Amino acid sequence: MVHALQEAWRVVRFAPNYDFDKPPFRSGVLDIRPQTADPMIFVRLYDGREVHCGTVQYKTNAVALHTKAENYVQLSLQEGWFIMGAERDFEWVDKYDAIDDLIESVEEDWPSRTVDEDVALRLMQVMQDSMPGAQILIRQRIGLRMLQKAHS
Amino acid sequence: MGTQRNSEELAHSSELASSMIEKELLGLLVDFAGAKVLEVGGGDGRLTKHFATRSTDTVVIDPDISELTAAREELSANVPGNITIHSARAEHLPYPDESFDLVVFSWSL
Repeated sequence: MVHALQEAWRVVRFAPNYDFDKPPFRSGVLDIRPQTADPMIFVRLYDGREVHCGTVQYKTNAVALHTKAENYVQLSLQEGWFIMGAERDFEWVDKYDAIDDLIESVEEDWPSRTVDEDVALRLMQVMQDSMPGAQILIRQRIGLRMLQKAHS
Repeated sequence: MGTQRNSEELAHSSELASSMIEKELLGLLVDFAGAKVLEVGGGDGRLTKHFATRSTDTVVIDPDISELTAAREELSANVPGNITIHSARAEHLPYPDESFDLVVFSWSL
């Protein structure tokens, strides 16, 4: 089976005069996706302190798919299809002011993920013990990688 | 009702802030001006909005018909630019060799 990255290599233009060290790049494959680690859940208290309550966990074979994608990127670099032009990452933060909103959002937007019962109970406890104004945060690192076609 | 609205506003403002960071990083890494772009897994078109106004042509593919419908509505309403939306799978791209300047995997690889 042909992998998506292999197809991307085929359809993207080879630019022989590119400059590896100077983004922004005008050609190549941009891979944007969450990094493998589970998103972390915190409660931010009224005074700004944050209490770690657990993670949003994968409930399907999404971990395996994620690892497979990562392995394929590494293979494409080792095999010389692509050259790594640049890598960046940033933190995506989602905020909620109630546990129900968090659960609903995870169910609707992240079908491959779940908030397990222990984490929900911990969240409930921390929110109940907090002064008004506490918020629930999900923090997840997102990676951006610019892969440049190494040959035609 | 008020609590629900506050919650929605809070979630929206947070997503907006993260989306702005994403947009800024995209601009630092990639020059979309005048480019022919293929976006794989365009979903609801959230990321497309960041670059479709600068690219010459943007082709968005997604195997999920419901997502494509959402993308069509969102993009046609809010984003100027030459955008084409197709239902296709990333493992079999129905395009000729070297036909795009940029391929963007939007949370889809």
